Amino acid sequence: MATDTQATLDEESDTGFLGLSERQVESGKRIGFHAVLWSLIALILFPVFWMFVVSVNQTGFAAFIDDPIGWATNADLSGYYQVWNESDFRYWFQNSLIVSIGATVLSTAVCTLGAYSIGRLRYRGRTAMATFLLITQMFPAILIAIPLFLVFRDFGLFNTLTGLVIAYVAFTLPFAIWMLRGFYENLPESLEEAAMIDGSTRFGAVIRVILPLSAPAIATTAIFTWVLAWNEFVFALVLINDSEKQTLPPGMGQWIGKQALNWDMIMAGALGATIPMLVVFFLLQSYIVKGLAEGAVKS
Amino acid sequence: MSTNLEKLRQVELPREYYHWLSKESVWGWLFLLPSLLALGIVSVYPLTRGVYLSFFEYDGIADPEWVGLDHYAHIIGWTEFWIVMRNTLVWAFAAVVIMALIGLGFAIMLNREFRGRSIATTLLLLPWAVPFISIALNWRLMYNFELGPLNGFLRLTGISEGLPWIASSRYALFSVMLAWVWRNFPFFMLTFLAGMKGIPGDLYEAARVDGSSRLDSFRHITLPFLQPIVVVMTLLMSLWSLNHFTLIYVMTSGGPGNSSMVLPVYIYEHAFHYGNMGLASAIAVVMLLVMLTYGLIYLRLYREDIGAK
Repeated sequence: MATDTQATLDEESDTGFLGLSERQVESGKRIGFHAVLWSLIALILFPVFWMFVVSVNQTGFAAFIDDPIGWATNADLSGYYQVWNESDFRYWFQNSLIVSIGATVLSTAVCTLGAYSIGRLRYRGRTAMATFLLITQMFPAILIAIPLFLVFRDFGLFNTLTGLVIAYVAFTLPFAIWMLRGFYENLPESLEEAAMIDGSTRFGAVIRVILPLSAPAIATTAIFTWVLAWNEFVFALVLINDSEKQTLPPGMGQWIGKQALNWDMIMAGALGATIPMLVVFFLLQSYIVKGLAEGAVKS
Repeated sequence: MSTNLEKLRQVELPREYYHWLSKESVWGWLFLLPSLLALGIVSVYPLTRGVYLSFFEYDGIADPEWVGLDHYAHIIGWTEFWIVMRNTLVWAFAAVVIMALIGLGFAIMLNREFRGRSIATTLLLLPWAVPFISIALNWRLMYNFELGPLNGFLRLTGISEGLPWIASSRYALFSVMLAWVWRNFPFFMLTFLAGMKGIPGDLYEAARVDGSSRLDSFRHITLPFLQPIVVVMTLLMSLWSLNHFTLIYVMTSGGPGNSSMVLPVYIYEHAFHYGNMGLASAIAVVMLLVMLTYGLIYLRLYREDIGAK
């Protein structure tokens, strides 16, 4: 596919540019393209690189430029040690894992059923439901957080991880259903019918035929849910009170505004919070790309 | 673009097929039930209660006191509120336009065969794998006046003695926006790339034979093909941007003054710092109305592209 467009991207030049042969012009263009692309990539990735540099050695930019090797030879892990032993980071990390995994598992199970229903079954009200899901994305999270705080307080869910998981499931559901729906709509019609003729119920057909087929799409949806949950700030800030029950985002957010800023500790924490995301990201990257292509782009 | 399958689905079916007690209907609602329950309890109910709360004076502890439309009357004539509203709209829409353009640029570059292409794609996706809180802290350091690489670079090249990025009311909103753009352009890049892959190559070939330039091909082939993706992504991303909290709260808390204050942070402060839950709910309801108006007009205009028939 890309090879087809390739030919059209490189304009033909019959007349030699500056008296160079066509091949020289071609390779010049290629070198230029690579130079531009990779410098842009370096620029984009610089903040991440800087996060790492400062986490092992609190250096300023000027010092770094003067001695680009020095930071590495003087590197130490005191920032990492501090963040793990001298702050509540380890609790936040654990809570974030619990809440994100819990919310992802529950939300994915519920959204698979919902997406199947909206994407695959025909009944009155399904399109209204699909539109409603998009409309929920127009609700300000903070407008829901205020009354939810009151409700949780009345029902003893305030300041509990269980409450937070419940909030996250509802908060991630609409987008998850929306993503999966596109996939189910594109599946061939006859799949369950064949299974149902063989004598299994609708539910049995879904379990035996549809679920295995949609595993990659479900995985993609789960990744997106995970990212939403891992990043969520407002609900955790409003619904959790004790530092030891807090998740990473509001917990680390308190570091700002403290008098003495230990940048090496802060960047060590920032990198630590990134690790689970990177693990998910690299293990399942192909799913992300595929899922986006199938979900967002209707073939 | 509808496949044959979708065309078949749109065929008028016998009425009894849609009867609400038909087997398919029952299964449909049964499968929806868990989602409906979750959304009802944690989304729809709190939303209505929030609207209800906006007619009361309530600090979260004492009994709520009915004030009717007083909060709304107060909001309408409140200069500070309108500044925050303007910031929020600028923040969301400027960010989305910049993200889309950067994403498109990278998608065009990555849509050709070259060695190291998949590595380049992976590396460009990396910002998406950094959590908001890490981005907020990291960019605070990037902008740091003394130690930050940005000012370090400016001093090194002698452009200036350094700018007070997030510490100045002039640049604060833009500075935070830059971090938000950095995080989200990969989203556009990836979806554009997926869309470009779906464009038949012989279309370009035919255009070239007809003697149209590369720019023409891009305008008349690539862009129309990408339109549905642009439409859906822009809608989602602008709604998410309007709702975004973390970067602003952690990087500037809306300051200096209210120069980078946006509605979600503003509402949070009023509800949980000043203890005005009623007023905060009223502001949030106004925000809801703005988002709904924008979203529904958008849905109306681009019905076909979004596919929510």
